[in-house]
Amino acid sequence: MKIFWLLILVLSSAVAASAQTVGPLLAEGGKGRARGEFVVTNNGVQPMVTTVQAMTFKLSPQGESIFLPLDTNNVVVKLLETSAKIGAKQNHVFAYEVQCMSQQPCLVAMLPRMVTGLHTSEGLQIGIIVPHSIYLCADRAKDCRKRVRLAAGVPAGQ
Amino acid sequence: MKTFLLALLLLTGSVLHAQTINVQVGASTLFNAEGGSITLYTANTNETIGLGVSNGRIVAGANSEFISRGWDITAGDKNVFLATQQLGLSTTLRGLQAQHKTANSTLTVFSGLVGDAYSTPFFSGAEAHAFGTGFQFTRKFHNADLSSVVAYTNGKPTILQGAVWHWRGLELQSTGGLLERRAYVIGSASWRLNHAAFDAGRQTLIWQGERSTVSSGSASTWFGPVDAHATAYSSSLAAGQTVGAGLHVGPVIVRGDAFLAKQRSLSSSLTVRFSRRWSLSQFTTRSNGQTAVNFGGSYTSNLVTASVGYQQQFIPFSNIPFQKVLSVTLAFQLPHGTTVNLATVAAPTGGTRWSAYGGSYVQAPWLPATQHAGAQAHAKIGGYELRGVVKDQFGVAVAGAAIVIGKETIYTDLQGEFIARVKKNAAVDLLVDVDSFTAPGSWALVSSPTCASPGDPIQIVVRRK
Repeated sequence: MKIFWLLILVLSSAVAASAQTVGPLLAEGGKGRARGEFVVTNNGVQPMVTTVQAMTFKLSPQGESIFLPLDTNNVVVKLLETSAKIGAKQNHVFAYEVQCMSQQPCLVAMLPRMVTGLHTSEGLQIGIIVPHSIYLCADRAKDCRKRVRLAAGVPAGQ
Repeated sequence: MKTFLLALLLLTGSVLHAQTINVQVGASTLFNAEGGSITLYTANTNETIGLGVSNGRIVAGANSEFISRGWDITAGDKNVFLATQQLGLSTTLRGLQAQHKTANSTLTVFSGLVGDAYSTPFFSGAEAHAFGTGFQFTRKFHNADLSSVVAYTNGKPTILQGAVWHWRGLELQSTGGLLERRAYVIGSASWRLNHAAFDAGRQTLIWQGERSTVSSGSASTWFGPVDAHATAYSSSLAAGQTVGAGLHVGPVIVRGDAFLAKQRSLSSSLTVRFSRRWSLSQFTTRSNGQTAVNFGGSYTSNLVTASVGYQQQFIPFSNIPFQKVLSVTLAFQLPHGTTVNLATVAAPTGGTRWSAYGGSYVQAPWLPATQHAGAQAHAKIGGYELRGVVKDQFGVAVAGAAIVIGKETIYTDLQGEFIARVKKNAAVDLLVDVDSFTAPGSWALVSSPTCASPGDPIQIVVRRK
């Protein structure tokens, strides 16, 4: 029984990271250009394939994101990788560069679509998408996201 | 010990690449062992090293698992179990095992040294001295499965052929051949109806070199809240019959069973489920003119699962074929993926043995990937882009298609599109890996270029088989 309590003591003291599945959820930048990255964490015990798709989004007055195809006339998005197979309990960093060609703020969402499990001959493919939202303003002023939300009519604090 | 030091040396390099480390430690009277193991999860491999003391001897083991060209490969120590649906060769391998699966077939091959295993839930080791090699092939048909096992281990041949045939509720299974030079013919039949089931079988159990062939027949029926069953066992070492019935009304379950062997025993149980989490049970056993009353129960929550109970089990290697066995399960699910388990198991010769073990996942602190990412600068994204799209024969985009470009596997998004980044503006090899699609189904390649250069419009067409 001594061993059992020793076991509990050893395991309780083990340090483990508690990461969110996608983080950070938000990024903002100025001067019309941003380099950033986000981490996708597989908290499961099976491999997880993640594909990343860049889309433009706009905000409704209620603060909801409305996703649209990437506005390639005004935004240039480069992703270091667009997909990765993430092992059990592992994470993967997706790096990106976004350039906004417009004087208006560019709102870009990186949409990592996470599919867990190995290939099966039957079944339904279920993907979970948790967006990483980027607010990019042309000027150098701070609080790009706050200003964009106010301009969209989203009440402060919502 | 030499094996352990060699494995430790080989795994030292992997530690630096590992993102996650799984640590398991435990002790068990069932295995008479204490020890632990560490599993390193790198981007492409899982590597495990174990060390412990079993029966007073230090034992160690290590292996590396990875996937290469559709083959699931294990190099190092592994418990090999090549079986038909009923009987198989079980040995411990220190060598190489590879497995390839398709929709209808599985092929497993192994080669190396074989010997004895020291396997527990918390660590495993091996001692291997004799040469062994073999394969298993399983093929599924519409109403039947066929399995073949051919191997040569410890200087003894194994040749087994098994078949399963099923039609509606009827299933027939049979296996025959040589298992390490010993002849076996076993089989079973089961017939499942809406309110009844009939089973008949003949199976061979082996424990510490002793062999016992057990023939059994059983019938059971159920109708609404009532169920009943009768089973007869017969073996060269022991024989016995059991009959019983149960009633399940709302939260209350009542069971009564009679066990007839060299001696008679009667048992009954009453279980009341108070909520989804709590239940309590009372077990009454009458044997040899004595009556024993025991209590048990179970509790389930996200943090802990606990149950205590008694079961009457048929133990062919014991002088008393039916024995009351204490069954205890205690599992803690602590934060950060940490688990602690305590469980009892009925030993093959009777009596109760216990095991206590646990494990946890530890993030590798030295990797930048574990740091919080943000809008901070990173290396500039350079190189050249390869873009393409994967569609089926009807022009519908295929999400989750796997394409190997150079040495990297990339996957298509919801529009069936993929982008790969390469360093040089030169042609690279391109391969469509249909077995690794995340999209369910069996896929076949219709058309694809075998190589592509940045700027080329890549069109890949696949179809469902």
